[in-house]
Amino acid sequence: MQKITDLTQLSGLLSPFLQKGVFTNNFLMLPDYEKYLSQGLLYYTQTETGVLLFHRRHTHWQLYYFLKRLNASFALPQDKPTVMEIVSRANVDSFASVLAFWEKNGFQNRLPRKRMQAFAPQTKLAPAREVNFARHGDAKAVLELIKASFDPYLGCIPTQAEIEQKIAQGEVICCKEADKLQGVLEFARKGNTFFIWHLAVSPQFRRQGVARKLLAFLSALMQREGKRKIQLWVQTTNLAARKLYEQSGFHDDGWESAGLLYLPKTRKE
Amino acid sequence: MEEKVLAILAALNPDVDFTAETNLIDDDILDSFDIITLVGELNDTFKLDIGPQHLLPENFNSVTAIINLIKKLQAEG
Repeated sequence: MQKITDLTQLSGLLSPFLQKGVFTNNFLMLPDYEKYLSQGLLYYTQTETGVLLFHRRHTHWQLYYFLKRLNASFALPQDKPTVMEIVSRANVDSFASVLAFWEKNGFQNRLPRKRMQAFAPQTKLAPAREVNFARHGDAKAVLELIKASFDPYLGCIPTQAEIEQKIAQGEVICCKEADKLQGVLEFARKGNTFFIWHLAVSPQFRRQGVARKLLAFLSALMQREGKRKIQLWVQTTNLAARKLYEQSGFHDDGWESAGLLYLPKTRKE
Repeated sequence: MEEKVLAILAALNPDVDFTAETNLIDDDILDSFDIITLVGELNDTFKLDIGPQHLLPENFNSVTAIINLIKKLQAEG
């Protein structure tokens, strides 16, 4: 695996693969590449029929592949786990073939998800007094709750600095009672859409309407800011969460994804 | 050229009137997961070399923006 030093090198690597019919899970845009390159976090490995890009993260490698055929085999990093997400419109034939290919190469589909969206969420709740934007001092508790609630590799766990930045941007909402954090909703604004990244409720406060209160706050914010849509990914097997979102006006939008994990052979989980 | 571009976009999402939209990326009408498919189709159809350096929202936000990118790359040869 070799480091990619600049955009020219990256372009040379990817150009043969930016063609019709190439299998890829890549959705990075130029600002993403520029950020990773400036941080020295982008690596690659290649064969005649494919190139793999690796984004080095604290706990794992994030993999983006470009494959002309599903018959190559690659040496994967052995110092920490490798994860990737494969996203597809539902019922696309190649999705199953690509999944099977990577499973044959040692990956497991650890996080199957569906995408849901709502244009006018029906939360039926006025924003509750215990729900508000997180403050700087909430960062540690927010991060702990997110870490406890989501997959350590595939859950897009933010760093302390990232969560502090999200709080400063007004993109973290907390539900607190007597200074005890009950639930958190972290989202991102892009264009006319709110993207929910993490919605988590502390185990002792579940089934008490905390998630609905957080969604109600976001819904009110959506109306206040004139946004049109809220979008999220939910674990396919998390029926309780899917039911909550459906009752709140969300519906499947026809996209699905697989969160794949490869554990180094010497590592036990 | 416009007809070919519209046909490629319609194959990605037949429910959208692409002639009327000017914020395809910023408004999330064209999904970020569609961009790489779109780039592959454009490179193949128009014999272009759209690379990572061209992957900016403003190059794909409308049919006009996409056509401008194609023309620019064709002019560069």
